[in-house]
Formats: sequence, C-alpha cells, structure tokens
Amino acid sequence: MNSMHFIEQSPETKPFWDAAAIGRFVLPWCRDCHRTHWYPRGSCPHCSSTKIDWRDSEGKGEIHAFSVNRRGRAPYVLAYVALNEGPIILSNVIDADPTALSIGRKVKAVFKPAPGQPPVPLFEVR
Amino acid sequence: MLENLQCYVVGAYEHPTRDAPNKSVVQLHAECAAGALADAGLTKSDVDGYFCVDDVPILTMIDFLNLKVRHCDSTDTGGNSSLLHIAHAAQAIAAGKCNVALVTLAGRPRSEQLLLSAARPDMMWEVPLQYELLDIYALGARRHMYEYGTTSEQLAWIKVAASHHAQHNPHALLRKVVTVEDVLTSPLVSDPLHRLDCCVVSDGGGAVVVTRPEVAKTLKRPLVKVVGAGEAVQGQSAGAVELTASAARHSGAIAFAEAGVRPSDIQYASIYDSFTITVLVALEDLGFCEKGQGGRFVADGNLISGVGRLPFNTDGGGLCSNHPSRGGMTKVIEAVRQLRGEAHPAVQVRGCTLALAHGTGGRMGTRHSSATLILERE
Repeated sequence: MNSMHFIEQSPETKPFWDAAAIGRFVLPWCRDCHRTHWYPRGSCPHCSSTKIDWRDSEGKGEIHAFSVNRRGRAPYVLAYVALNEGPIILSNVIDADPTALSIGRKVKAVFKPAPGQPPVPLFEVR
Repeated sequence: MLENLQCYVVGAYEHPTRDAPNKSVVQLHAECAAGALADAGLTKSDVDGYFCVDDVPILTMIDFLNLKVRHCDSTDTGGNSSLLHIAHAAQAIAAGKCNVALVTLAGRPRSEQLLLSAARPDMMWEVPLQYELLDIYALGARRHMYEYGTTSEQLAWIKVAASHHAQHNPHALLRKVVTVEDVLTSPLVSDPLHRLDCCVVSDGGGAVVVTRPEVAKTLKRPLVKVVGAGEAVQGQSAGAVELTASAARHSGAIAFAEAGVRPSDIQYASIYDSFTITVLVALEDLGFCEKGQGGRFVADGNLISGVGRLPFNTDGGGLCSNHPSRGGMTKVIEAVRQLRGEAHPAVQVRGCTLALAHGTGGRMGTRHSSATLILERE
C-alpha cells in the first residue's frame, strides 16, 4: 500500500522503531500475562495490562498463507507469516521466486524498508 | 422470533447508474433516498430516522436532504454497513426511537480516489507493505485451498452463477455469461485469484425504507418483514489470525436463532461478493454447508436460479452488476425484489417467502464485520 501516505508512529511503539533502526526485531511482551502479541500496542490485547516489555525475536517463522500479485511490472508476495513465538503477522516475502513458494516454507525477518517507509519486518526465504 | 423485532422493509431502490462522473456522492444519496421513498409511497416528511455511513458526514447528509429526524446512526463497518443499518433501524423502531427509517448508500469508486484515514494503529504496520486489497482476499483463498483442497475451478463457479443472472439485468456492468474456463484463463491478478474472481468497480447507490407494522400495513407494497438480524466482528486477534472462517459464524447463528429458521429453509440468498472467496467462506460459516465443503457446494451451478439448490445474487451481484464501494445495500434490495416477486422473471425464485441477505465488510483476512438479515414475505 506504500503509494499511500505515511502514517505517524505512535509513542507507545517507539521501542519497536528504535530497535528496528539498529536492525533488532523485538516483540511486545506482557509482564502480567506473559504473552506476546501482534501488531504491537502499548496495552496488552490479551489482558489490558500496560506493562509491556520488548524482547528480541528470533525473527524466524513459516509461511502461513501467501499471494502473488502480478498486476504490476514486477510480481510481489504478500504473506501471513507464523512466527516461532506465535503471532501470525502480515508482511511481504521479498527477494524470492514466487513460483517456488509454498505454505510451510521457512522464512526469516529482515529490515529492508521501501524508500521513505518505516522499517516494518519483511521476510526472506531461509 | 423475538416479539420486539417487528419491522418491515417497505421501500427499496437501486440507482441505475454504474458510472457517475458528473454526479456528486451527496447527489447519489439524494436520488436513492427519493427513489426508495417513492417506492414505499412515503415522503421525506414521514422520515424520522436516518442511517448512512460517514463517507459524507451524517449531519451534512441530513441537512442536505433537509430531513427532520429524531434518530440517526452512521456506523461504518465497511461494505456491509447498510445491512447493519437496517438491523439498527429495526432496533430503534422497536425501542420507539423512530417510526420511519431511511437508509441510504452511495459511492463513486470509478470516478474518485478513496483516501485512507490517518491515525490508525493497525495501518501503521500495513501501509509500509506492498499490497492491495485483493491480495488480502487471495491469502484467504490460498489458505482455504491448503486446508480443504478447494480449487480455482470451484471458486470460478461462483462467478459463472453470477454471470448467468447478470445477463438478465440491463443495468449490470458485465452481462456476458462466462464459463469456468473463462475465469481460469483470465489474468492471475493476485495468485490464486483471477481477474474474474473479483467484483466490478462501479459508481452508484441505493436506499431502503424501514418502518413499523402500523405504518407498513397502510402502504400498498408487499409486506417484507425483518425476522432475524445478526452482526459480529472479527480481527487479527492479537496475532491468532484465522483466514478460512469469518464472523458470519456468529452473525448467521444469531440471525437464524432470532428468525427461528434453518439454512435449509432459505429459498434465496444474497451473499456479499467482493471476491469469489468471500462468498465461499460466508456460505460455509452461515451453515449452508459444512466448513471446508464450500467448494463442492458452489460447483456445477448450485447457485444458479432454476438450476441449483441455493439461488444467489440474482441481480448479478457485485461480481457482475454493481459494487459502489460498498455492496451491502444491493444485497438487501435484490432480496426484497425476490420476496416481492419483482426479480427478473428468468431468475425469480418461485413462491419465494424466505430470503437471507449477508454482508462482509472491511477486509476478510485482517479486520472485518459480518451482518446477516433474514427477511420474510408475509
């Protein structure tokens, strides 16, 4: 969707963006219910606690579902990736041969933001 | 059926336009409002409740139409909002908050670009990605194929059925009957979805009028009663994403319980059809077949009027006729036509007295709403 305008980052998610800026992928972790979640919030969506820590993620997971858009000049892949830590997150699989992808394929997070866009985790085949 | 849910759809109007470069959205709303009131045999001064999504601020709409209302509601759950508005109108009427509710919808996606509202905590994570709307639905289709063995051929049958109906609708954007082969050879726009798995993009709108029995029974139109209404919302559940089931599991169960009927009693169904997969998942979740059996259920013309067991979207639906940004309104209007016996003779379900209208709003796969109405001819 990155032809659309940039959306301002919330203060509650600053730890994520600060970590991403130095190449670290962190996940929110609730100190009260000991669960992670996605997308990151300042209030735990499981138990409403505001005691959120940020823990390093392995960044590893597998493709839960993917689509290959062929409308433009170059095909691209949108996917839901199931992280090993649990959450299933919406992202792009980049630098991959779309015809070689399948559900269950192992992937790893990378930060390679499009120009002018914030560093959300994208995924490469590993 | 709940005693307090006693209201009728007495007016229905679908704007004939599919391309409106020279009309504003408010103008389309106004023309639809006038059409539905005329159909009901009522006038603007009878209206004391108004419902529309906030694409035009509701205060602006009420003032533009010069309505004097004592109840209004601009709940926006995406494309199915009109279905919720009718349910909310029924509740407001039952609660004595209004007597005659006008629900309007209009959109000009062919003629204008839609802007995304800012300050959304969810979009912060999605805007930086490369994707468009249809990719999200393609994810659902892919996962359904993986879990249940659903095929592109089966999805194609949904478009084929819609096209069989659209050939009889002079206003439909796509009137050509297509085959499974046609769908499968159309460009693979977002694998596994083909171009013909997608709905049309049209300008247009529609409106309905909902009222209490005392008013409905003084009018000259056939009595179409709202006998069940259910709504539910489903999101990404903090990361526990479900791609192959929708909130229709809940909205359908509520509506069927309220109406005291079962899916097998339904003679006609309007099912929101932004994409073929949207229909397939809804049919399963509403209970027309078991989860995972949607592909088998829709195959071989089972949704074609006069051929299959469950005639659906006999106006051609969003897949072939009309999808003015939001497709919920036209779902209700075609169900009302069927119950009145006013559908095209080639697609009219004989003796149709019980119909369902169902909408999926937002984006199935990220955040969506389901709304189900069950309507009965008295």
